[in-house]
Amino acid sequence: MTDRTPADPALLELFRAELETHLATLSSGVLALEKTPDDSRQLESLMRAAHSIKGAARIVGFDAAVQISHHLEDCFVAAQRGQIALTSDGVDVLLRGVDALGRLGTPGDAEGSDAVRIEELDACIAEIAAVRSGQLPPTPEPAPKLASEPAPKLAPDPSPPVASEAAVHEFVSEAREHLANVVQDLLTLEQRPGEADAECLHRLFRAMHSIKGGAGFVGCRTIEQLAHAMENVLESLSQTGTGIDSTVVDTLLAGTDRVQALVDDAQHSDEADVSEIMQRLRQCLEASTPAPADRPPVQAATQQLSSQAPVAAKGTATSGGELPRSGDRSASVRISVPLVDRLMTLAGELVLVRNQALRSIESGDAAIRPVLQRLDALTSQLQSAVTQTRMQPVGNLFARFPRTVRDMARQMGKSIELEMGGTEVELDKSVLELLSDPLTHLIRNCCDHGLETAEQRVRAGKPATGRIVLSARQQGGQIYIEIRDDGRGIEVERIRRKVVDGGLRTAADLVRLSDKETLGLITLPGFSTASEVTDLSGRGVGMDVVKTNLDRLGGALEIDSTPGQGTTFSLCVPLTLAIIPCLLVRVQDQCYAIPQKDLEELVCLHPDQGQTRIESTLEQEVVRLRGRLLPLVRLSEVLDHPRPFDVKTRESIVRKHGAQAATLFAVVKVGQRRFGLIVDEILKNEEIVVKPMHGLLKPLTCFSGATILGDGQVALILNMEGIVHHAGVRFGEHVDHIEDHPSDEPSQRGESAQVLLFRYGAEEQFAVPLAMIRRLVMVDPEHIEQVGSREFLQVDGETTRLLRPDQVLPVSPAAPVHPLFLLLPKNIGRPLGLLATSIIDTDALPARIERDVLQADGVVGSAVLRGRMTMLLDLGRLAQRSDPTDRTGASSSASDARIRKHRILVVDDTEFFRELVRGYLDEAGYQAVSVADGAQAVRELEQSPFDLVVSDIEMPVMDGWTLAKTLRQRSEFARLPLLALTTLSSDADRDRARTCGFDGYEVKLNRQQFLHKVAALLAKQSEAAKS
Amino acid sequence: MPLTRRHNRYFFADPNPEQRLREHKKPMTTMTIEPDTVSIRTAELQSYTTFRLRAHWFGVPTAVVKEVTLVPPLTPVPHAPGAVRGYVNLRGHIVLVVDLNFLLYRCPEDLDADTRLIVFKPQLGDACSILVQRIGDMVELDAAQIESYRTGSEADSQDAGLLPEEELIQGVGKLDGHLLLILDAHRLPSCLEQIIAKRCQEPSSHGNASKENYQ
Repeated sequence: MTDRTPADPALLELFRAELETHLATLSSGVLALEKTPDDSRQLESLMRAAHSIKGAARIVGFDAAVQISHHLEDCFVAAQRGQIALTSDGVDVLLRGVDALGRLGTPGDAEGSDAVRIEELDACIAEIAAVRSGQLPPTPEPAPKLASEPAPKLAPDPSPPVASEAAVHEFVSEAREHLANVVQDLLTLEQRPGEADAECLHRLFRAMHSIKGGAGFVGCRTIEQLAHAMENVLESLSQTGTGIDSTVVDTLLAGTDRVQALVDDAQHSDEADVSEIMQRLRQCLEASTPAPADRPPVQAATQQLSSQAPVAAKGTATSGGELPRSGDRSASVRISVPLVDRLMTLAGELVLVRNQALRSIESGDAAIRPVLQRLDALTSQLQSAVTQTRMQPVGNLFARFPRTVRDMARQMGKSIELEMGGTEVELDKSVLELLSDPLTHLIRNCCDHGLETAEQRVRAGKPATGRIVLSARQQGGQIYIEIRDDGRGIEVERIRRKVVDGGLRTAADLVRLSDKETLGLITLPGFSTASEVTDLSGRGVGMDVVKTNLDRLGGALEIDSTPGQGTTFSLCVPLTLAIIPCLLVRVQDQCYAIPQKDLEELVCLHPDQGQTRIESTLEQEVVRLRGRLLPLVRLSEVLDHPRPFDVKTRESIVRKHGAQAATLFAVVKVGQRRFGLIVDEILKNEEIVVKPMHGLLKPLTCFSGATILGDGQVALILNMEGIVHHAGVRFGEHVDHIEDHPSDEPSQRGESAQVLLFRYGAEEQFAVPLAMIRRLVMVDPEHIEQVGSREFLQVDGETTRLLRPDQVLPVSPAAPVHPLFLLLPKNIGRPLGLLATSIIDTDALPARIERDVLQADGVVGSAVLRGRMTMLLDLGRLAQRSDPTDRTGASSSASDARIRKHRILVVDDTEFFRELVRGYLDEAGYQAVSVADGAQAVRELEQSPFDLVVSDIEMPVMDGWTLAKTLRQRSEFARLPLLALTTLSSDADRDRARTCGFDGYEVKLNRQQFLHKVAALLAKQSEAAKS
Repeated sequence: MPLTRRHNRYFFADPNPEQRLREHKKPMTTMTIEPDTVSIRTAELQSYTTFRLRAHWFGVPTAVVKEVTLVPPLTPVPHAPGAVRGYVNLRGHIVLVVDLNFLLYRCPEDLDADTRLIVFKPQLGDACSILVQRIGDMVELDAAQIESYRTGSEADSQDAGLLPEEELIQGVGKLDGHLLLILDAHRLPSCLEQIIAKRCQEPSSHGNASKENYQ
């Protein structure tokens, strides 16, 4: 039944840990089923647990466990569909199955090979299958057998102890290390069939030899025999230099697994029967030995070696350790996880004690202060070092996948190659553990559904070998893991059909979803595109598990697929679960934490505006924020009402606060929705250590956990989803998505549409697009330093040049005020900021910009905003003008351009940017024409020739992606240079721009860089035209 | 072996043990006896940590008690039933505080200088503790001294009839001069769970609890 057993002790340990958790779910769930047999949620979680065990068992090669869990899963599915009813007898059988699984996971008892066990397991499987098919449960005849099962284990060992326990222990741990390397090497060998990698073979040979020697030393004859047989095969392989094919590797892997199993239970290894595997190895040896003449030297050599076995074993082990791939094992020690956790807690306590000490010493004497400072620093260092101990390279998790992929490929007759990258990226151990299930499912999905068979691939014009790329990278506090295959991809239409057929969503629901959102539906519970259920996958449980685990991690899953070309799953998980950045707010006397990931912005309404801006329907308060209606929730009311709000409560809350102006709220997002959460006070940002809620308080959905703040006080972490639910916020059509005057706002589409309004002198009002501002800081005028006529300020350790609008523009000066505000622009390339005396608000960029009213260098135009004439500034131009020595590329490109006026088409929906870019180009000597969207651009291009197109991405009617694709499909525009100019700056967007056909990509807006790029693209084009 | 293990340190994690010693003038010898040494001496004898709540003396098996401590500042948990007083930070661990007075008598415990927290060992589940009006001695009772509560309540109905959460009371121990209501600490989590599940209409106590933070 099973000739394969765990590959690697670490894997096995992981499997056991996983098994344990799932088993707990199974046994409690099955018991609960006895009382409520058709609790479908219960059945669902049972099904998922069984499915997870199945997956894990397959990886470590416990076929029996795979079968049992598969049958269990079948039962649960059938019960859920109402096909069978679970009686108490049925539950008995299921429980026996769960127990059998539990025994399989018991260390040292994992090997399911001895006859009694197999019989017992078969009986168990048959029973479960009977329950599944709805037959009366069989007589509990096998039960006594099960009950008597532990007996053989407890029976006194007839054979005398082979060696001292310490020696055996030493041997076992050494052998395990060798075996882990052996599996790796065997897989490497298989990837390069034919050309026998001498180094690799030699290493394998030495490892086996060491194991043989060690086994002989401690008296484990069976292991010694088996290792000897494997050694022979390996030796003959390296002699002949050929004949390494998958069959041989299969046999060797099976042998390795067998050795592993024996080693795991070294004390009883001699009782095991290894005749079958020995037989296979013998066949292998015969097959690989061309002439009998070759054999004697091999035998002689090995015998000679084995005569010095114990010594030689040590020797080879050491030399094995010197190989670079084995890593520097001597530099690490194993620490138990509870100990690490305890260290974490102690370090945390130490931090609190330190805090108390620091606080109490403020009044104390000066002599002790330096001591305390040192304590302070050391404590922080200690804490971060201890946190570091929990981090593990993601490669530890990835290590199991080559084997998974290989086995699945063999099983399904496919040829699959797995490439891994970023294995050194480190992750918190707990995150790593939670990732194990999702990744396994995704990899298996790729092998099973994603990749085609070799024939299908060849027919589709792809290489016969399918590729899966598994990579990890860190960015900020997040880890991104990508699983990419070059298989058949996912057809969105098929998903739509399945989702509707399965009754998971209605067709009407789907109309509104984009392709990408539709792809996301495959994570719905119960979804499966596979037409039949195999034990590999296809029950629609897997992706659900992936989603559930990721949700628990606070991670996200994105699916991207091109039919015929492949599928990419991108997982994004936090580096650690333990610490998250939060905003601390106060309501009444208590402090609460809002996770930063839920926060969009903080809004403070001025008292005089409060009355006018908070409005209410009968039962919902809303605020008009930049023209959109945002529902408001008062946190104090949510906390005061233990029960979810009903209409009456909601009405009374609105009435209660009707006369009163709220001033402070956080704009919070829940999925795609937004609402304002009114709090009493915003305290500060803090990185907090998350502790789960007490088990009994889990039903309180408004909180996701608790934490201890710097001052030692416990604070609760708010769960926004729970709060929305509790407060019964309605994101009705007329609340969330209403736009005040849709026609007046051409640009609610992206951040480029917003401007920041500010003043400097008494008169003029200025505006700068938010997209061009990196940061806004408050400045104390006393800190400004004067150097000649220039002013500077230290911002984040950088000496920043200050510009006053009245220095660079013909506007009125400002009276000295405190504080001043400093606008730090994006993409300027040197530290520079524009001073303002007051910040007014952000507002939508006006549709009409007058260019002729106020003409000045650095002013794009003017518009009426908030009833005042407002100057729209070009920060880049102002920055350039402030420094006459800065000669940008403008002059050179201008002179080039004068030779022949290049015609450039500027496509941008925002008038501000359109004019800005056109201005830059005009000034540089080009002839620029501007249009507002992709469709207009195509029309314009059809009418007259252009040398270059500069296009925004996010536009109405036809966006930049579509424009590029459209142009590339038409032969007359196939070689026209396209430059994307956008506020989107992610790598993914860059990639997409390239695929769509853009030749260049610039982020809005660094004038100098932009002009360089334009010149470069034009130069390239004329080169190409000449040749 | 038992002599080298300082079991009593659990009980004096209290920041101010001297004061506690003054409060309890009775000899402390009983407090240092380990549960397992007790079981070696006589199988029936079990140690109970006693405390006072209203007019009654209560006892919990010392085996489930981790420590007795002063009450750190409380953080109320909105939406939790009245019997849940909130969370405290006990040297870096977040511990749930259950108001036994509220649970048994529907009346929030007033925090004063005698109020203590009995913190239970992890065997009862997630970190959990009860507020008690004042702490008493440890006593040893053998099984013969304890009567099951059901029969006991008939005899002492005047005293015990008040208790609404009767399941929590395991039995009544007969001490010299007074009775000891034996609390089944293991039932505490499930009892609370039922209350939370029922979501009975109780005024949440968090509004006033926050003003009673006790140093």
